[in-house]
Amino acid sequence: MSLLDVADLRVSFATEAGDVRAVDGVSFSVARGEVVALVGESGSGKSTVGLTLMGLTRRLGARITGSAALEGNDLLGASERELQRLRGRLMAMVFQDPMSSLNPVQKVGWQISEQIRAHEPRVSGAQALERAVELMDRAGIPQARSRVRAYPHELSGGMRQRVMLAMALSCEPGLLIADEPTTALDVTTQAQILAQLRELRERTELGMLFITHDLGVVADIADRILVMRAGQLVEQGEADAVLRAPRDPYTQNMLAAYAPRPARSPRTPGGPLLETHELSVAFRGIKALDGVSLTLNEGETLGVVGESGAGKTTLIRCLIRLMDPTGGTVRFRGQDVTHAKRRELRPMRRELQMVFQDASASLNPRRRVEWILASGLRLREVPRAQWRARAADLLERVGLRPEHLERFPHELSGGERQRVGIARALSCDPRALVLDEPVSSLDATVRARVLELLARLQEESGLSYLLVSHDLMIVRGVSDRVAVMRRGRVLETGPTEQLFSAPQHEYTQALLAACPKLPGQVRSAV
Amino acid sequence: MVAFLARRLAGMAAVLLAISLLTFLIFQVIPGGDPAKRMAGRLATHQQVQDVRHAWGFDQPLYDQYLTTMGKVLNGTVVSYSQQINVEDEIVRSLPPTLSLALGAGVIWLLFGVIFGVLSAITSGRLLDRSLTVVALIGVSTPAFFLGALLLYYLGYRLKLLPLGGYVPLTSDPWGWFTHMLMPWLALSVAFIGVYARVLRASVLDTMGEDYVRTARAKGLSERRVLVRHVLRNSLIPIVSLWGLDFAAVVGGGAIVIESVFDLHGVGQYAAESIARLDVPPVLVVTLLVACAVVVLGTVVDILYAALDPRIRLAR
Repeated sequence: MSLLDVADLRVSFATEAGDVRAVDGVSFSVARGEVVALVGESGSGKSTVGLTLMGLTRRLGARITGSAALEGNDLLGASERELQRLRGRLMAMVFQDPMSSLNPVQKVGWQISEQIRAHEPRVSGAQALERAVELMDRAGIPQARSRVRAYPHELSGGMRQRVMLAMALSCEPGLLIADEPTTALDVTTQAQILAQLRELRERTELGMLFITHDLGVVADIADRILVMRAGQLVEQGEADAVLRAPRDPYTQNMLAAYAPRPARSPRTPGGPLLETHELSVAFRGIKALDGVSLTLNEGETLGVVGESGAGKTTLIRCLIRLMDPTGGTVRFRGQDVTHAKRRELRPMRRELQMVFQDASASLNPRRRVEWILASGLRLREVPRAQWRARAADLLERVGLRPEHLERFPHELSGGERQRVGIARALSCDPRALVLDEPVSSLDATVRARVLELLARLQEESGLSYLLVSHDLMIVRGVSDRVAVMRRGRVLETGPTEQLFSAPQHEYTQALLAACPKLPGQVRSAV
Repeated sequence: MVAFLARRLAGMAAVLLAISLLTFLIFQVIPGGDPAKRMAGRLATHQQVQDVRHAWGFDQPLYDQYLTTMGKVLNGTVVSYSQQINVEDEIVRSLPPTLSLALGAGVIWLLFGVIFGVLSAITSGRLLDRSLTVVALIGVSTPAFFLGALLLYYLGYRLKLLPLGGYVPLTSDPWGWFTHMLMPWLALSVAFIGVYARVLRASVLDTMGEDYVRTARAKGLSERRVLVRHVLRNSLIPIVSLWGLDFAAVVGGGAIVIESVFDLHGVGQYAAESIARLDVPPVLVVTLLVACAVVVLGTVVDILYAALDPRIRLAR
C-alpha cells in the first residue's frame, strides 16, 4: 500500500496577468521506505508540489484541485487545524537554505523541542530538549549536547542542514519532503548529507519526496524519478532506467550537463597578464589568504576551485583592488595593482572586468539594459551618439537581440540577465574577465549555453578568463589550467586534464570523489 | 561591554561639546540677542547697559564667555539672564512632569502601536487593515495642539470629566496625578501610535515572508504560536530603537507643544519660554539635557538590540 497518493494535482495562482498554472495535472505515489525524486528546472513547479502537499500554498492564494492522500488523510480537503496536526508529525519538510529556514534569534535545540512539544503536549520542556540532543546526535552533529544551545549563525551550513533534518525527523514522520536540501551546500558537505539520507532510507520505513534540479544528486539515492516541466510530468520511471536511457528530450538535456565536456584543444598561451605573488590577507588573526601565487596568461582560462571559506571571494576582491591585501602583490600587465594610485587604477579596472554570480543583484534594477551597457561606453569616451548602436552590437555578441535594450533586468530570464552581465563587462573593452561563479545560479541547460558563449567570446577576441567556482564540473569544461584552493592556500595547480585525471593533493581527490555521478560514469579517477 | 560603554561615553562628551558650542554661537548672531540691553531694560541709558554688560562679562571675548558659562553649567551655578534664577533648580523642578508625560505616553503609544500594527498586518488588505490605515494616517496628521485643545474643550470644559491642565505631583496625590496626566498622554500618543502601527505592520509583513516562518508552519505549530514566537519576536526588534529615540526626545523637552497646551511646567515648556526671551543659559542646559538623553537611550537601545538579536555583537 502506498504512503502518499497524489492524483491529478493542479495548482494555479491568480496574478495581474491572469492565472498562472504552476502545477498542471500531476499524479504519482510514494510507498513506505521509497525515495522518489521530483526533478525539474526552475519554474517547473516542483517546489509548488511539495509546498502544496504540506498545505503551505493555501495562504499564498493558490487554487488547488485534484486529490492527495497521506496514510488515509485527505491533505487537500483538510481544515487548517487538521493540517497543523499532520504537519511535522506525519509529514515533514526540509528546505533549501538552512540559514534562512531556521529562526535566527532562537537556539537550535529550542527550535527542535518546540516541534516535539507542539505534537506531544505531555512531554516536558526538559524531556523534549533531551530528545533534541539525541536527534542531533543521530543526525551526525558532533557535541550535540553543547550544540543545542547554539544559534543558527554559530553553526556551519552543513550543521544547520543537519539541524533541519533532526527537526524534520523529531516526530518520526512517515513522509519527508526534501526541497533542494543540498543545493546551498558545498560538494563535500552535500555528499555527507546525502549519505545521511541514504542511511535513513536503509534504517527506517521513511518515504521521501526529494525535490531537486540536479539529476546527479539523486542518482545514488532515488528509487524512482519523476521529471517535471512546465507543471507537468514529462517522464517517470525507475531511477536507473531514467538516468541510463532518458526518453524525453528535456531529461536528455538535463543529463547532458553531466556528460564530460570535450577537453579543450591545447592552446599556446601568451605571456603573463595577471599575476599574484604571495598574496595574503588576515583579518583579526584569521588568514583569509595565505601566500597565494597565481598567474593568468594572455588568452587562457584559469579555473580557481574551492569550497566556502577557501578565500575565493577575498582573492577576487584583491585582484580588482576592492580590498587591500596585508601582504604580497597583484600585477596586471606588469603594473602593480596593490600600490597603484586611484588615477592609475582606472585604466586597469577598465581592462580587467568582473562578471558576478547573481546578475539580478548586480545589475541596477531601475535602469534599462541600454543604460547599463552605456555606462561602460562612457568610460571609454565613446561619443554619446554611438551608444545605442554600440550597445545593440554588444547584445548581439552575447546572443541577445536589440529589443532587449529597452528591458529592465527583472524583465529578463536568469540566462538573459547573465548575458547582459557579460555584455556589460565587454562594454569596457577589457583584456581579461574575472568570472565569479558566473553560471552557478542558472539551470543546467541555460548554464551550458552561457558557458558556450564564454568560450566563443574567448575565441573571437582572445580574452583571458579567471573563472572562480565551487563547482568542479563547470571549471573542468572551460579551463586550460585549474588551481584548487582551501583555507586561503593554493593546494595544487595544473593543466585541467592532468589535474582531473591524476589529482596530487588528497583534498582534490576528496572533492572529485564527492561530485555526484550518474550510473555508468566513472566514479572517480582515483 | 566595558570598552563599548567607554567609547559611547567619549562619544557623548564630543556630542555635548559640539552641541553646546553651536547653541551658544547661534544666540550670538540672533538679531536683538544682546542680553545686556534686554537685562538693562527698555528705558536704560547707554551707561547702564555698559554697566550690565561689564558686570555679566558680556564684554569679554567670546571663547571666554563660553568657557565661563560652561563652567557654571557644569558646577550647577548658572543663572538665567531674564530672571536670574538658578537654571538647574528650574530643570529639577520641571523634570517630574516631563518624565510623567514621557513614561505614561511612551507605554501607551508602544502598547497601542503594537496592537494596531499586528492587527493591521494579520488582516492585511482586508477591511480592518484599511480602516486602521486611515485612522493611523489621521492620527499622524492631526497637530498635537489641535488634538490637545479638542480634548480640553470637550473632556475638560464641556463634560468636566478631567481637570483643565496643570500638574499634580504623583507623591502628593496619585489619583490627581493620573487625571491630570491622562489628556496629555493621549494627545501626545496619538501621532506616535499611528507611526508605530505603520512601522510594525510593515515589519510583521516582511517577517511573515521569511523562510523560517514557513518552517515554523511546516513544523505544525498553531498560527498563534507562529505569530507570537516566530514573527513578533523578530519584527519587534526595529521598534525597540525607534521607541528609545522617541522617548529620549520627549524626556529632553521635545513635547513642547503638549506641555504648553496642558500647562504642565515641564522641561519643554521651560525651554519654549526661555527661547522666547532669548535667554541663553536655560536653552543651553535644556539642549544638553536632550543630547544626554538621546545618547544614553541610544546606548541602552544598542545593548537591548544585542540581547534581542544574537547575531549582533556590540562594536568594540
